[in-house]
Amino acid sequence: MKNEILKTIVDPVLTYEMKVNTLAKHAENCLDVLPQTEALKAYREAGIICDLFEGNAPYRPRYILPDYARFMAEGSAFLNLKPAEDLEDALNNLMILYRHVPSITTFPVFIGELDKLLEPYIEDEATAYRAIKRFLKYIDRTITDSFCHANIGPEATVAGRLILKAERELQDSIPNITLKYSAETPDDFAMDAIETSFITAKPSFANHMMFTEELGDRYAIASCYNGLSKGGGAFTLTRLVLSRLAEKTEDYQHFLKVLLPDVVKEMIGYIHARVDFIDREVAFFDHSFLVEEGLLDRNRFAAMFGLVGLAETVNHFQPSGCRYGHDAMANQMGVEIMDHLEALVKSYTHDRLWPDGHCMLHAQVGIDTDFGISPGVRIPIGEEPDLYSHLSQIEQFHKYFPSGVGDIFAFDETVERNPQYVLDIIKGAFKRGMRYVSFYGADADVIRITGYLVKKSEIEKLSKGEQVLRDTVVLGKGAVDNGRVLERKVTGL
Amino acid sequence: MIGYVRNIITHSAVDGPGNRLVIFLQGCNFNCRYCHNPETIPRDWENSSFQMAVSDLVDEVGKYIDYLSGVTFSGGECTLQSAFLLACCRALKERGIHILIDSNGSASKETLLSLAAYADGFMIDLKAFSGHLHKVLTDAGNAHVLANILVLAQYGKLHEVRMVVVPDFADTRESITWLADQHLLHIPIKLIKYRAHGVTDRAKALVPPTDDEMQVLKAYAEKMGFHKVTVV
Repeated sequence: MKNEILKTIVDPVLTYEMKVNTLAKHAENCLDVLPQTEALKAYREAGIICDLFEGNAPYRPRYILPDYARFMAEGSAFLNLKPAEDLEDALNNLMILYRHVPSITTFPVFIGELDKLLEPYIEDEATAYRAIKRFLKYIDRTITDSFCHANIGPEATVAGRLILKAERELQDSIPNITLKYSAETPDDFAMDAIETSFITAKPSFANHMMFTEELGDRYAIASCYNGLSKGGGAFTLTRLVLSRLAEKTEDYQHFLKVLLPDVVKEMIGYIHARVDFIDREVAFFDHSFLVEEGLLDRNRFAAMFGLVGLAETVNHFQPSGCRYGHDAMANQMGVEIMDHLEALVKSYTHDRLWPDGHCMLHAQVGIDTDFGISPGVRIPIGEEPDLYSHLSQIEQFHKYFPSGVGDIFAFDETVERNPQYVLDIIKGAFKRGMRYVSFYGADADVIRITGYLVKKSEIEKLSKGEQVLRDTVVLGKGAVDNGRVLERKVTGL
Repeated sequence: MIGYVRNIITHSAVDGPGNRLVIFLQGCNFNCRYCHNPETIPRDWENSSFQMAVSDLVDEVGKYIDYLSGVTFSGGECTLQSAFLLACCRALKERGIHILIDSNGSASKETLLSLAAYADGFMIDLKAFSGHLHKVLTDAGNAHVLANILVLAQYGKLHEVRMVVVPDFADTRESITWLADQHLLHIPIKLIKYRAHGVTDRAKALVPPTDDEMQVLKAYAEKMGFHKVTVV
C-alpha cells in the first residue's frame, strides 16, 4: 500500500486533483469492513464480481441526484443561499451546490434538468446565451469527469435550445447530456439535438415514455445513462462479468441452473452489505444537509446490479459460426439467460431499495481494462449487423434494464446532412422498445466511448505521456486500446 | 400486377427527406454516360431483375414502416413501368405512406399526372438545359423533361430538381438560369458532383468538378434567389 501511495504521489501524468482523489481511494481501501464470504472473495479475485472501484468502505451513495428544482425554489440554509432572483443568481447557486454533491467520482454525476431549471430566469435571449455558454464552460473545466450528466426535454424550451447551441460551439466533452424524448418533443427541437450530436456526440436520447411508465415521472438520467430517481440515486453499482462466469463450464444447463444462481446470491449479498454500510454505519442520510433540506429522500435510492459480456457468454455456448446479434438461436439464448437472471435478481429483497425492494438490472458500459468483453448486452464492436437487425436486437434486450442500457451509432456525412433520418430511426426504435441511444459523427473530435464522452485529441495527448484535465480520458484511452472503440461500424446511406 | 425490380434498399439517407425505403425498378430509356447503375438500364426484364407483386412490395414496406419517413421509387426509370408503379402508389397511399418518385422526367404528362394523384412529389433530374448537350450525355432529347418540370411545379408536386455537375458536358449554370426564369425559386435544387465511381468506359471523357466549382455554382444559384441549394 505504501508503494501504491508513493507511486500516486510521484506520478507525472496525474493532475493534482487526480492525485488527491486517488490518495483518498488508497486510504479507504486500507480498511476491510464489509463482510465477505469465501465464495464472494473467490468471485472477486477471479474478476467475475467487480465493484467498479467503489472502494472497501463506501462512505456515500455511488450516484446522487439532488432535487435541484427544490433547491432553486427554496435555496439552502446550510449553504446560506436564497432562491435565485435572476439568471446570474440561478447559475451561481447551481455552481455552488455542485461543489457539495458527493458521488463515487467526487464530482456530481447529475447536474439537473438544466432547461427546466433555467427557463424561468431567461429574459433577454442574447444575454442568457452568453451566461449559459460561460456556465457550461465552467462545468467542463471544473467538473473534470465525463460521468457528469445534464437532462433536457421532453418539451422544447428556449433554455434547451440555448444549451444545444452553446454545446455546438464549445464542443466540450463535459457535461454529458440526455434529451428525454417523447411524442411531445417537437421535431425541430429533436433535429436540433441530433445535429448537435453529430458535432459533439451529445445529447443522447432517452425513451421518456418507457422510463416514465417504469420509474414514474421523477426519473432522471445520470452518469453514463443511468435511470434513477431525482431526489435520490443509487447506493451502489456492482457488476457481474458474465462471460468470465461462462468460461468456467462448457455445459450451458450447468451455467444456467447452478453457476448463475450461486453468483447472483453472492453478488446480491455483497450489494446488500454495501447498502447497509452506507445506510447504518456511515449513516449518510443522518448527516447530510442534502437530506435535511429535502434535496434527497433516503427512500429513493436504488441498488444497481450491473452486467457485462452477454454477447461473449452466448457465443461461448453456441456452436462455432453462430453469433450473438446475427443468429436467431443465439439471440434466443441471450433472452433465456436474461429471463433467468432477471428472475433470480428479483427473488431477493431489501427494504431500503427504491423502487420496489429489488436490485435494478443495469447494462454496464465496461471499464478500460475490459478486453474481449462487450458492454452490457451490446453486440461486439466490428460485428454490428445491418441497421434493422441491430435495432431489432436492441429492442429485444433493452426492456430488462430500467436503471440503464444504451447503444451507440456512428454516422457518416450522408446521414449528417439528413437529421430527419436519425429522428425516423429514433421514433421507430422507441416505439418498438429501445430505451436509450446515442449518436456521433464519425469525423468529430468528441466521441462516445461506451457511455461517456472523450476527445480523440486528448487521448492522443495522453498517449504521448502528457497531462490532461479530465480523468475520463484515461478510461477512454483504455477503451480505445482494449475495446476497439474506434473500429465501431459507421452507418451511412 | 407484377413489376420488375432490380433492388430494394431498406434504409437510405439520400433519397428524399428522412429515412426512406428505395425501390429501384429495372429499365431505363436514357443511356447516361455517367450512369452509376448501368445494370439497371437494360429492358430485358426477366434476365436483369426479379418480379414482385404489388402486395409483396406493400408487405416489404410494412416491415420497416415504423422507421421510415416514406418510400422512394427510383430506377432505372421507374415510370417506364407506369401501370405497376401506379398500382404500388395507390396501395401505399391507402396506408398513408409518403411517396416520392425519382425520375428522369421523360414520361408523358398524362402518366406523371396519374401518378401525382397518389405520389407526394417528384425528384426530377435535369441533366442538361441544351437539347444538344442532353443528347450527348443521355442519347435522348429533353423537351419532355423541361415541359414536365413546369407541369409538376404547377401541380405542386415538384419536390426537387437534381443536376449532376460535369464540366463541359452539363450546362448547369444555364439550367439554373432557366429554372429561375420559370419562377421556380421555391423548388429545392440539388447539385450533385459527378464522381467517377461505378461508371463505364463511356464516361472516360468526363472529369469531376472541383469543390470550388461546386461552390461557385451554389453561390450562383443562391444569388439567383433559390431558397434551398444543396451540394452533394
